[in-house]
Amino acid sequence: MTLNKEQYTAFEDIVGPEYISSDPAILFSYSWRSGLYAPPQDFSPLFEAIILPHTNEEIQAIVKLSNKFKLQFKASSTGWGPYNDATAPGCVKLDLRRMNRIIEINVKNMYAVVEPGVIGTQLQAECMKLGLNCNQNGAGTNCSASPIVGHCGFGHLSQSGSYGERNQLALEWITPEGELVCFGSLGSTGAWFCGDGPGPSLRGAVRGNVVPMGGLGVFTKAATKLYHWPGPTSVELEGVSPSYVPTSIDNHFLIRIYSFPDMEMMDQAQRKIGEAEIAYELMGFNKGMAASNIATSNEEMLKLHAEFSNLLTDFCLMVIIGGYSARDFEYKTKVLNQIAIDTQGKSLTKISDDPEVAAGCMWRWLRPTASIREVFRATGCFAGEVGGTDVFRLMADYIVETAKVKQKMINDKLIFDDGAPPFTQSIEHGHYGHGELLIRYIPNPSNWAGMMDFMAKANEIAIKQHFGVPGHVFSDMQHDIYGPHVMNYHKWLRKIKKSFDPNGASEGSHHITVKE
Amino acid sequence: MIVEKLSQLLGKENVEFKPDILESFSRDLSFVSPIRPAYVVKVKNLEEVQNLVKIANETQTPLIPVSSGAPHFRGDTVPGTGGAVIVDLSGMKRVIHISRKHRMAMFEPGVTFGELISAVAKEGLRLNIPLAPRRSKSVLGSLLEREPVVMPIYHWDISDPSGCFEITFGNGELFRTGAAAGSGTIEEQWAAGGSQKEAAGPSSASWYRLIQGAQGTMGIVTWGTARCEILPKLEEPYFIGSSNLENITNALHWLVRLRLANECLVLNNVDVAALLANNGTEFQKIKTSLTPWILFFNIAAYDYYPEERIKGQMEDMNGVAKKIGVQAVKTLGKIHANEFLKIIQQPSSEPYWKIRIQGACQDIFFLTIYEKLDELIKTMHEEADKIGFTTTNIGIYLQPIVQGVNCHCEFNLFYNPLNAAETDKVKQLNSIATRSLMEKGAFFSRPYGENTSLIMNRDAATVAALKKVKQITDPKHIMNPGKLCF
Repeated sequence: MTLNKEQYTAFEDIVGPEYISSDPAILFSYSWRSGLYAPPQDFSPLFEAIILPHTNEEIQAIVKLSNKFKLQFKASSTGWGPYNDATAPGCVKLDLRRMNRIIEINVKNMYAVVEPGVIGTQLQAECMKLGLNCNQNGAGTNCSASPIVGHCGFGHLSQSGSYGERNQLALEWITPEGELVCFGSLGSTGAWFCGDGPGPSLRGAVRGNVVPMGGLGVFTKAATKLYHWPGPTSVELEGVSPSYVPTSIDNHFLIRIYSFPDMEMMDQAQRKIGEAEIAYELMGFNKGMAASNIATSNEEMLKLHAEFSNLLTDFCLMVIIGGYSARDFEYKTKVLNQIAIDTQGKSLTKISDDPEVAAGCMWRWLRPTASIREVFRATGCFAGEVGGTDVFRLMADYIVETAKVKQKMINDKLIFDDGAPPFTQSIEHGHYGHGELLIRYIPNPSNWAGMMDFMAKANEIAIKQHFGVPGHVFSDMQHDIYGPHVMNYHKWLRKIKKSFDPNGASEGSHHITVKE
Repeated sequence: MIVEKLSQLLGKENVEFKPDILESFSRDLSFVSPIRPAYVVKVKNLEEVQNLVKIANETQTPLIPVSSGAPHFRGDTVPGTGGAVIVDLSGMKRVIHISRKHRMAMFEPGVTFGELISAVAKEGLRLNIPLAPRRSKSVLGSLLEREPVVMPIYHWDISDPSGCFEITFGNGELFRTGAAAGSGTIEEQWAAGGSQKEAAGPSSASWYRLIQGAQGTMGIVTWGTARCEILPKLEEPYFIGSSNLENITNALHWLVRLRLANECLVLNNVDVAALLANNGTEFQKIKTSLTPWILFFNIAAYDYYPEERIKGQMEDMNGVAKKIGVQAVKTLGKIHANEFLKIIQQPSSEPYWKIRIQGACQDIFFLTIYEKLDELIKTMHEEADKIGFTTTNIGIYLQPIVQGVNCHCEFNLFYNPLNAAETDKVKQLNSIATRSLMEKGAFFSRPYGENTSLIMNRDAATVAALKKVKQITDPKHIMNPGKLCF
């Protein structure tokens, strides 16, 4: 199916000829599937047209036309994963990159308002100039700064900066039928500081600990919480990527990677650091990620990985301390050192003894751009298992269990051998946790089949061992697997979808559809 | 006859229709028009609640869940229609689970603040509580109402400190929100190491947000979890008194932004006097001894080097105060900060502080940001002047929430309910001030009582969307009909 002339012209009338295309070269470029969950096929199904709207009015008109023409639409901002793709003919893409304004930064009440085309690094840079910071999607600051358009929204900064579901304030939502709904204070007063009410909060209908991934209309502006930034307003870098270091980072920062004898000790350290409220960042890290991040080439990464294998166990934490004053820094460092002693944490000397390596890592984890090195290093392609959210240890245990399945894939030589230790995230000073398992591979039919088998087993583990609904659960198929074990949530989710999108216009293959 | 069905289900002794009991639930201290319920039923467990909702659906009987004991203040538990059944959950008083390790507690709707504070304290934990709640207030009720709490640094999201809920929706279906949804039973989740702490989800909806703020219109919640904080090893509370509100909000901003203070709130001299005084004479004495604005905050330290932490944070706090041009003190008038801390870390003594002196209190509360406060307070005073309500008798409570992103602003109109003229003034002021404040940008995120329509009508798109949600959870509209936009 391709758009007929009437349809194409109608969309063109809305945005102008410059901002719509169905040129095959453009369509194929949007459907090239690389990076995250790249299958053996190079391309996903083509969109019928790519449309670049600029305003709410344009999006509302496009959405209403899509309903009228019985077409589907799928909006995306930065488009990281396969959930941005079309899954079948009959779908137009709304690329929101032209909606790229930072609308407001309120310093005293610590929030910012962004359009979806603003990326994390842009908002963070502007915030830092004002002594503030924003949480960043762990996938990197190349992702949208909007708290509702990333997948989960957890990241390196979540220890002190929470995550998308809890940073979200007021929101502008164009429903799948083209109505504009303004959440919270925005709908009643035009201000952005609150996303809840009057009465029950509609935030509950449009996202959980994951977002609907294009399957429930378009989010055109959002306000997000900001946090204190204890560092400098700007930082000079010396060198060129991949070999660069910040030269002017404040001396009230410290970075460490600690290795613990076992999970119990790592868990204790995570809780003690959380309860002491000393960490700016706290993540369960592993040797594969550390090696990839420090290295400037694949060869160096392999060398470092071998070196770290002798120094690090499978139970490591990456910690960044950020003191808002010399006194604060001194106190937090003292507490961290004591907790490391109490929990038998051993510091990785490559970080603690080499200021250049430490500074480079710190910058990549504060900005953060670290994930890019971690996931693309080695194979240029990655997948894995994205756990859910509850307490840190539960999520870490889930990853340990699924890592056993990953180890089998390593043994079968289907994927890159970077070991199989957990990669976890501590959130809000240890109150919550999240876990993931990174798998790096080169796409071909046999390892892709292995990957699908891995996902099935990861699902089985989550369900049978009560680890909650992982973040990787999207699509009708997966919801229908989990739902019967999880209070039939899939039926409730489908009711929301049906109520707000009776025509199924908002392409929901990676959310949920209106099927019976 | 529904009474037979109710008696069969719950036992005759738990179905009440004595006129005085029905009358007590027909009105509260708000200005909502009284409507007498048909019955008051006491439920003890989930099974009874589920069967009750089933009967209500079969007989189209309105149900009004009530967890807290009297006195009620906001009209949300007064029937909006005739023939309603009050579902009294106050007898469900189990504290189901407390985890020191995961800093959480699970409890039933009848558990009050006094009960839960002492239960979690035994485990080394504490709750983030509203300002001196009344003794009979249900913790779960407070969570469901998104009540502001006094420790803004631990209030990351407006829903905090809520975790998960078990709810029987209006359509009779049972659901558990967030991590509690599963898989598995709650016991199986505990055995796996889970803690029903993550409120969001499962997947891409957050049902707890649709239940909070709903005033019982979505279903009946039979337990909830709350996140707790650890008990400090040391605490050092202070006051900052000032007549300059901008200085006060600047200090608030930095105390919260740098995470320097646990409890942190602002009251005017009227509210401080109302909290502390036992009678009218004391009230006047305290009120006149204080500056117009009082910022109260508490510096706290935990397990590691508590003395060092307290000392350092006090230095930093003094640095902030100096820059702003204010001074932190331990005593204000004759009030010592340590005594005040004790008062706000517990439920109110009896009688409840808002009705102790005059007998009644009407609250007008909304959310805003610091920069709008001056104008909104001025608006409130102008409206009070027009009506002839003495502005110097209006209590004001400012609570930074969501880590200082929002400010809860509350006007407390203390009055004598036996004085008809005064009562009428308060009723009028409640109505006209709400309208004027809205026009100046006040956001009434939790609309109650007779101003609800005025507030909801401002946002027709949200109302339309909420009605779609309501249609999912309670298609026969049996849950507290007539409230909000339902």
